[in-house]
Amino acid sequence: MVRAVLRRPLGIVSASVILFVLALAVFGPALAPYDPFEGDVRSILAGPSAEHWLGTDALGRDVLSRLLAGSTLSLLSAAEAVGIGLLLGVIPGLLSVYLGRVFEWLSLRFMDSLITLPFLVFAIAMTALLGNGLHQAMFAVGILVAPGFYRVTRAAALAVACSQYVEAARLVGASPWWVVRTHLWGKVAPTVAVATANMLGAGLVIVSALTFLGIGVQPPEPTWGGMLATDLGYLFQRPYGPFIPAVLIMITVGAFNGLADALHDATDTSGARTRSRSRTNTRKELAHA
Amino acid sequence: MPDTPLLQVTNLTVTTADGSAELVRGVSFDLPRHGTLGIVGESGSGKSLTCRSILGIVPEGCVITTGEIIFDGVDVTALTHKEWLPLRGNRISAVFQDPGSYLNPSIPVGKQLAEALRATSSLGRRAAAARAVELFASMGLHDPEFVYRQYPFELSGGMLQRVLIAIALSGDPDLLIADEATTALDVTVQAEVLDVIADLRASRNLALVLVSHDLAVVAQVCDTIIVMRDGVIVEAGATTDVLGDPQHEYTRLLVDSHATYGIEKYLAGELAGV
Repeated sequence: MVRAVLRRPLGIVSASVILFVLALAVFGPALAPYDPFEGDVRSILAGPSAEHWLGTDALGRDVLSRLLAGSTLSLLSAAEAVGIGLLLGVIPGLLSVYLGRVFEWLSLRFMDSLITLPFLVFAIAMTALLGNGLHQAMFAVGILVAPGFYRVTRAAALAVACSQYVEAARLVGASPWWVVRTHLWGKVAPTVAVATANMLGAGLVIVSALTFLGIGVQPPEPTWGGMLATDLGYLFQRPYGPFIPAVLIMITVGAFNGLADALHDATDTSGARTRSRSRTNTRKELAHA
Repeated sequence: MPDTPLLQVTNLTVTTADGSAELVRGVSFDLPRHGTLGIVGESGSGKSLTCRSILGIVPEGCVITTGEIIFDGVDVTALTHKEWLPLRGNRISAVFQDPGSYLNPSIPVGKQLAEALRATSSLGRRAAAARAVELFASMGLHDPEFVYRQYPFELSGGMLQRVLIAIALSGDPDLLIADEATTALDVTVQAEVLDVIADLRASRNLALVLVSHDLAVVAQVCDTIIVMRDGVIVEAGATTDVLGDPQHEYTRLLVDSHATYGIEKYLAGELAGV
């Protein structure tokens, strides 16, 4: 699967961008040339220079250093939200096919009701309730992306659960866990992988939106969304300021979406992979004849 | 109990769940050990429902209202899911039409057979794989090692059916039910698969219930035959008697139509210069 993704131009470009951003998240704080919290009063709102490659913000802090330091938190929080969503969506999605009508009905209605909740309002309400912290905010986001995972998983699992080979397996005494492992998971995993890549992109946008609004992260802590928000206040002095974190967010989100597309193409059962496989086999068969 | 029949169906009646329609009515027959029984009849005559009753997998919306199905001394109509487990696969097996839909398309067929072997016996992973290749070879599949690694979509209908028969026989059952197992195959492949079934039956002392709408298929393999129509047995007896000298009007119709549309008639006409 990995090789099939990397063979596609879109896949290889997206994957390298994501790898680059991941490297930023891991090594960024160490690479930052300046302390992201320490302001230099002598150069406030400075333009790009040899000293400060991307200039400085209103408090004289180095923008590059803050971007690098903020990448860890921004990506980690997106991953946290998606992780919670995966857990709360995929497991009930698989179980809904199995645990009988009552659980199915309850979980469907529960997920439907989650979908009706407005994103930002719910996240704000949750942080108001649980305290304004990144984990609380991400928990709220995780709950809200769970229905997406739930539906995707359930749709893929339903198609397999009704198949005759699953019925046959159950008749000879296969346990539900065994059926999930051997028959369902292989069918569900590619769909879930595509949804995860997509949601990581969406999650980053949500995290940026929340931090832009000041939810989840307290001001001195650098995040991409937060930097966007503060830079907007100084448009007159530094008109290009908000573009720097915005472009970074856009590129990362675009890369996640590109990866999702490439994954989708690569795992599509009617796609090129199946064709090329059967072609090599036909050749083998010819050689055998 | 070598003298008692392996399978004894007495007065089997299957209706819809609300009891509004009788789908199988008062069907009775015996199948001796190592015997072969053919069930023929048109679509909707209750052949498959009878088979599914024997397997304990009556489709949703249908119920067995009266009758007994005694398999080797046990009335299987009363068994629970748990009590069925030692029987299905180990004692009674089945092959159906459309073999492709009974295999997981994303797992190589050999692995699926090995899985079945490991479920019914205590074979290790490697022993099961070796046994699977052996079984494939005995099904008349050429190059069984190659077939072992193939995915279901890479095999033809005839090969898939052989794979399925191999899986059905992996538990070394006493009774194999083949419900329209060769219907979807073209005639030459159908003959090959029937040969495989007949050979296996002889070598494994298997009892066989063969369901088909095709008289030729049943005539080729079965000793006794049941003709069903609208859920009722209209005629039963030794294959040669029933097909050679049909007593019931419907059987006569079936045999005649076979003679009318069959190739024998055409060839006879050609040779006579008509």
